[in-house]
Amino acid sequence: MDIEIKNDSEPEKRNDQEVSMNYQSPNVSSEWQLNGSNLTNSSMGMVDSFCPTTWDQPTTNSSNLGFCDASVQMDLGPFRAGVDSTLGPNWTPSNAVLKGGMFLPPVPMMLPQSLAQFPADSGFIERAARFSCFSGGNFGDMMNPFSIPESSMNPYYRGLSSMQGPQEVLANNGLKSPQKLQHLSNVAESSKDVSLTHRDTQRSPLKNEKKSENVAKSQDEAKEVAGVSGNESDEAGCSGRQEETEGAGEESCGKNIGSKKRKRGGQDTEPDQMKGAQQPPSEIQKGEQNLNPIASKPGGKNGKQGSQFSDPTKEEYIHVRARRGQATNSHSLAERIRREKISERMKYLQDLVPGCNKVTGKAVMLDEIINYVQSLQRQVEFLSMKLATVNPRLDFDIDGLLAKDILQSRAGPSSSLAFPPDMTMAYSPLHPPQAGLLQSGLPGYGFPSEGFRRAINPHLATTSCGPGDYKDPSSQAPNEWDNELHNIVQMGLNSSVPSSSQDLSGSLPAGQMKAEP
Amino acid sequence: MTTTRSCIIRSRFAYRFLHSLRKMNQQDKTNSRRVKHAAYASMASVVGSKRAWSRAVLSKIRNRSLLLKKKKKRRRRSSDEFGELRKIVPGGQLMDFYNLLDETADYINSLTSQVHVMKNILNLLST
Repeated sequence: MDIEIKNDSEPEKRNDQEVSMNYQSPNVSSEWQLNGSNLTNSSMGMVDSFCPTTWDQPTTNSSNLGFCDASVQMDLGPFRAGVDSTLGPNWTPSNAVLKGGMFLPPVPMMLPQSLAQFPADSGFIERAARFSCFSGGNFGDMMNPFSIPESSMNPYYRGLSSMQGPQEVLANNGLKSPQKLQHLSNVAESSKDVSLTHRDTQRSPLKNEKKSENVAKSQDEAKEVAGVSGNESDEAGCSGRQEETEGAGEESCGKNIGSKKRKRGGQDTEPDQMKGAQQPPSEIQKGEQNLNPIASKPGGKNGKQGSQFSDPTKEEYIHVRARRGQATNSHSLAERIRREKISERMKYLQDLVPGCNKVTGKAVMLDEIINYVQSLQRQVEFLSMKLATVNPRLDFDIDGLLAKDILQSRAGPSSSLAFPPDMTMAYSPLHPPQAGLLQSGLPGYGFPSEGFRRAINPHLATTSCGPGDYKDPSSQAPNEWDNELHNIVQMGLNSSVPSSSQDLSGSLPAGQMKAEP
Repeated sequence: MTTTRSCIIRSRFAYRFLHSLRKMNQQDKTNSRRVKHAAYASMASVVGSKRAWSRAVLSKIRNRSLLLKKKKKRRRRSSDEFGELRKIVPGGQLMDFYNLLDETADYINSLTSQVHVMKNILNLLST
């Protein structure tokens, strides 16, 4: 069975596209709603002809809520492992699609926008509808380049769902007589059509492409219909098999989307043909499968409301994807998320800790990190020891030191990064003369540099110059220094006092002090 | 962005640390332990209570006397393979591993800036 082979090869093909396909599901369905609404005039008759069989089918539930459930299941298909007895019929054609899709050259934008031009040939249109059944998966693929972010679509959704209120009510009323329901829903759709024309402008290229594909497929594959319909049962088996892996499940979800589209396509392109009675039984079956989603279209909208509930879970699972052979239960998924987060953190730490780039392996890296932190702590300890010895001798001036500190830190922030703790002893005697000269030269006497500093980093300037304003009061009342309030007060004062005088007053005593020891 | 943030943190830390040094100096109670505590406390208060490690440092410093009195040995997850990292990063005993790594990154950042500023101060003071 070549179809089976192709189905096997499909998951790998699509693995990379799964994400986008998943995201697209709302987009796609909404588009197709639009399409349907555009074409309601022509499609009403067709829908009516199919309705009875649709509603008699065991898989369709007999209540509006039932439709809801069905559509939600289609959305969530991949995430619920076991749900899918009802999905079987939906999936099979989508698998069959793959075969059809292989033969299709993409024909973008070649066809006129209005579908009304197609349906002249009734047999052709029937075929197109049937083949649109087989093209759903391809649509999913073709849509990927055009995928529009979900968020942008959401407003439309809400608008849609709100507009669908009457429709749903109608659907409830008309449940017993499916034809009536379809009529009503069509009416509702047409009303939607009016309100949604602004979306049409956005959507028109996409729609065009889809339609063109429809036609192309129908032309290409007219010959293969019979064989494919015969193969459907086999493919159902295939789809059941594919459910076992999550990727396959998602694929089938994408196919579900495709099948939705397909149904829309069926609506679109079979406008005037009520000749469904003439179709062979297999085709009627297909028509039923196609129409399931159509019938559940109001339900589909409900389903979107329901899927808003299920969105968070979806989001959560979208990030972590099980590949083949990986476990898919929630615990292992959560564990995988956690591991990814941790490894990302580890990467960040790796960038942070010098010399950690070459290290491979988590344990070694942790050792490196631990060593680095310990060395930093030891450095702090050592520096505080040194400061304790230096401190009593000096009655230092804070603002001068601050200015220098800031300048230096901006000049070379990375200089001390790889500073081994043992080096500090050897380093400190060598370092100070140049640094001290440079720093004392720049901030104290050069007004331009001060202005430059302020311009670059006003926040730093205010904090650093704050003490300068308050220098004299602080010498008289030194205890006030610890107050946080003073900082704010000084910042307020800072603007009124000219910067040059404070700088001079701040830097000169520092120079005197430096001469002392 | 990170550079400006680290600049701000550095300047604030220098400000606080120098003030506490000055206060110590005026009270004539300078020893290395106090200087170290001052450095850690000022760094933690600059970073703020957003970070777990700074909260841990501050609470440890504030409740020093209580801790000395109690002398209670709390053994938590000492068999953990990352126990050593937990011991090093303040407040790390209570975290899960992901948060521990996060805190470690922030702690390393602030420690480097702390060391940098302290070195500068030392250089300036000792000249």
